[in-house]
This record gives sequence, structure tokens and C-alpha cells, in this order.
Amino acid sequence: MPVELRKVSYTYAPGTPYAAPALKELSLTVGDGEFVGVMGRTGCGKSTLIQLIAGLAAPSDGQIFLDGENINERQFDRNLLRQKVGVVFQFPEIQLFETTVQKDVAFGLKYLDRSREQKEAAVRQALEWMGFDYEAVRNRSPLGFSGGEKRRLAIAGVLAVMPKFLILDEPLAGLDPLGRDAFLELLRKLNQGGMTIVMISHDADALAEYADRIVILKDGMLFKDGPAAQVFSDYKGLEANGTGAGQVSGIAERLRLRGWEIPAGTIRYRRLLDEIAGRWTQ
Amino acid sequence: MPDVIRAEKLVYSYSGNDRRSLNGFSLSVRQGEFLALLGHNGSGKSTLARHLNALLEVQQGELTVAFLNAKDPGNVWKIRERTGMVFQNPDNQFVSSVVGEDLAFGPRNFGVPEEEIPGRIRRALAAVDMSGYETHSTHLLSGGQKQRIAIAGVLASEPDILIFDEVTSMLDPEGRRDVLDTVARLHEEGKTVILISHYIEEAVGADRVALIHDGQLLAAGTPREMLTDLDLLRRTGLTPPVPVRLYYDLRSRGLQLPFCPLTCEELEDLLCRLN
Repeated sequence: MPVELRKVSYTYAPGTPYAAPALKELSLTVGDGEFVGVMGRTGCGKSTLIQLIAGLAAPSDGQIFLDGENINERQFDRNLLRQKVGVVFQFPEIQLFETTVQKDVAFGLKYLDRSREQKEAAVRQALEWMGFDYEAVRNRSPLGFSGGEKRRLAIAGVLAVMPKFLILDEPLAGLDPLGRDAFLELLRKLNQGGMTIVMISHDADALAEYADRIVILKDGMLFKDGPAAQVFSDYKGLEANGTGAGQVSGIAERLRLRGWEIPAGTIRYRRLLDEIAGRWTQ
Repeated sequence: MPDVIRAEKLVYSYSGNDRRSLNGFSLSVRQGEFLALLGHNGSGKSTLARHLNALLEVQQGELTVAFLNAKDPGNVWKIRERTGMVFQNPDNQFVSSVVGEDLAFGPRNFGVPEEEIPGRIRRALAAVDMSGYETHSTHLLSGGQKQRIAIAGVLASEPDILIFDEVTSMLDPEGRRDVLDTVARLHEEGKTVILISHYIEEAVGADRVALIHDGQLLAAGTPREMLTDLDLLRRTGLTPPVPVRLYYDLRSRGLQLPFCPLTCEELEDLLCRLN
């Protein structure tokens, strides 16, 4: 179920003195089963991109296709879009509203054609994925959890629907290190199970470790698009752009400058460790 | 230096929840100290922070903030004036869409005479390196700028104690650096700083690191003592900084560096000395 953007532009407040172009003729295709990391400085158009793919705003110009169908055509079935594309927005915890965890996580399933048992199983599965004990939390108020826990509850609500295409806007912000690693592992597992994942993050180390492909936006246009190992190898370019390339790439680059032969594409921790150990024992 | 904050055996449970968010937490902070408070989600960090600003009432235990007894209801406003708190999401902290008006909100509510306010705003903006932004619109700033304006909003009330609750987690790397530089500068200028985070790298520059777990103080010490202790970090639910991780992983392969580096620069220097 590929998503394709063809020359998509989006301008906020068009025709006014406050007109602000957020995306400029952006073309991008995300294929089935990809794990794409999206980076860029604050204000580069990342969040606008999500709103357009999710169909919450229509492009000022250009088209967006889901499975070959233009999602902004009149005859396009929006319900299909909602089922297939799941979105975890920034600070999803502010969307918690139901009286119990069970009801809140089940909300997205409410109008889907599934049996009661199927819905309950989906809620249980989603909560367990996010590290909760279903029986222990199901009847609690979602508002009585800590900030990071609320974040995980809200994400469970999106996963319960089992979208084919999952978009996440800064989901790691505010998660502690173990929660972050566990969540990234879960995304990897879902991705290996066939879910397409597009994750916006400032955490270059996380994207280097988990994403296959990296897209970097700058001023509403593509700045970089390619395999993670290739994009993060341009350490200087990414630093100059203010996106950063992460700690592992940084150590590799600086050791290289000081005469160590660390190959390009050393962007993951395990590889860096092997390279350092290998050079040392020589 | 005297203890500007003293918490003794604080216990706190949110209503409708049997779990103790703070469960006998004790810690003292010296005046002018830069303390990093680390812990996992739900460890009690934010609950503690809300006590320091008198947003939460002490249920059990003792607490003095800015040398004032936090249990005395008459001290609530004085404590809030002495302690300023900045939160995670820059967009949630503005009360006005114009920077100058936003910065005036705090002092005005503390009853500062109107003629003093422009001077306070000017000094607060200078302190976060954003002089001249009085008439700018808050929503047109970058993430890092917004967070610095949020800090200026707190500084305008001229507090002695600054509490930063995960202030960098929404920022891109450059914004993060800007904000951390601002935090370090405010500390150098004499403010007591409490930085709450789970970006362990942010704790490296602190005078002291306190680890909180299950509502209790697990340990406190220098960044080097705390952040290079794998077992302690594991018990706190944190992962070590990359250089520390590399040190231990190299060691388990029989490759021993002279000491455990805390920063990437230290690690690189140690490695290059080998060559």
C-alpha cells in the first residue's frame, strides 16, 4: 500500500500577508514495508507532511495517492484512509479522554466491523505491546498515569486498529531510555510483520539504528533522501543543517579525522564497537 | 553554602491512586548548585518538581524551599515567586501571543510595580540571548527560541531557583544546545538550577546528579560517580551514555581503557592516545 506525493505544495494562510509556504513541490514515495525516518529542523514542514498524508489538510497544489488512489478526490472513501493510516501525533497523551483505559484504547475500533471478542483482543494486544498488564490497567482512568505512561496508552489506541501504514510525529520525546528502546523494538517488530512505518524524530541515533531510509526536509523541500548508512555518512552536511547525525556517527567521524580508519557508513553502535575493537587489536 | 531546598521523607499519592508517587524522598540542594535529577517515566521526578513550586501540597514529610516552610499555606505565593519552572512543551507555556506581554504576565501577577516591568523584561530577554524580541509573536519562533522565551518568562519574576522539567525533549539538536547553554549560563550567574531529564548526556555538566526511583532517592553524587556506574543506572531504569557503554563493551572484549570516559571527547582522546 504505497503512499505517493506528487509535487505537493502547502501554504498556510494563502492570499494573506501571513502566507507561509510549508511544503514546496515535494515528491516522495513510501513503499510497502519500509521504515522511513524523517528529520529536519523545527519548521521544515515535517508535521505538515503528516497532516497531508493523513488527509487532515488538502495540498494547495499537487496530489497524494494511497494505493494509486488520489485521497483528495471526492469519490475517495475516507473511512478507508482512517483504517489504513494510523497517526501518532506529537503529545498524543492530550487526546486521552475516556473514563477507563479499556474504553479509550478501544475508541478507534468503535465503528469498525469487528466482533466484541476481536475488539477486546485487539485492545489487550495493543496494551501488552506498549508494556501494560491488561487486567491491571483496563478499568483505571487513563488520566491517573504519569506523562510517559499516558504517551504509551495513547499509542496503544492507535495500534489497536492495526493500521497498515503508521506515521509517528516525535513519539520518542519524553520517553525514558528503556521505554524508548522498548518502543523502537516494538516498531521494528511491527515493521517486520509488514507494517509500513514513517517516524519523525530529532533522535538521529534512534533513526540510524532502526530506520532503513532517511528523508530530511529543509524549507519544505527534500534535502536528503536515501539509505540510512548513506545519509548519516554526510556528518558535516547534517551538522551544518542543524539536524545532527547522532553520537555514533559523530564519534566515527572525529576518530576518522584523527587518523583512525573507520569506514563510511558506520552509523550504528554495534558496528562502531566492532570497528574500534578491530583497529585496537591490530 | 546553605541548603536552599531541603526535602525530608516526602510522601505523595495522587487522589484516586493508591500508588505512592513519592515514597519517602529526601534530598537537599545547596544554594547556587546545578543539580540534575534523573529517573525513568513515573519515577516521581515531576511530582517532586511540583512540590518545589508549591503546585502540590505536602501530604507527608518536611519540605523547605528558598528557606521557607512549604507546609505553611502563607508561604505558597512567596515560594512560587522564588522558584520558576519551565516545562517540556514550549507551546503550552505562553499566555500571550506577543513576547513582551507574555513576559510581563509573571511579574504583574506577583504585584511588581508597572514601571519596573519593562526593565525586567529587558533583563530576562538578555539573559536568554533574545534581546529585542519584545514585539515578536510567540507562535512564529522556532522550538528552541520558544523554549528560551519560556525561560525568560520565568526569569522576569526574578526567581532564585530554576526548575527545568524535560525542557529539551521537543527540540532539534541546535535548539537543544541553545537551551542547555542558557541553562548553564544562568547557573554560572548564581541561580540554583534543577534540571530534570532522562537525556543522560545533559547531566554530564551538572555539579551533582541525583537518581530517583520509585519515589525515593536511589543515589546522589558527581556525574562521573553516577553515570559510569552501570549497575546503578540499570537499577534506575536508565541506559548509560554512549562513551560509557563503549568503555564497558570494549572491556568485556578484553580491551581496557585507563578510565571510563564520560563524554565523546574524553573517549576519543583516550582512544587516540592508544594509537
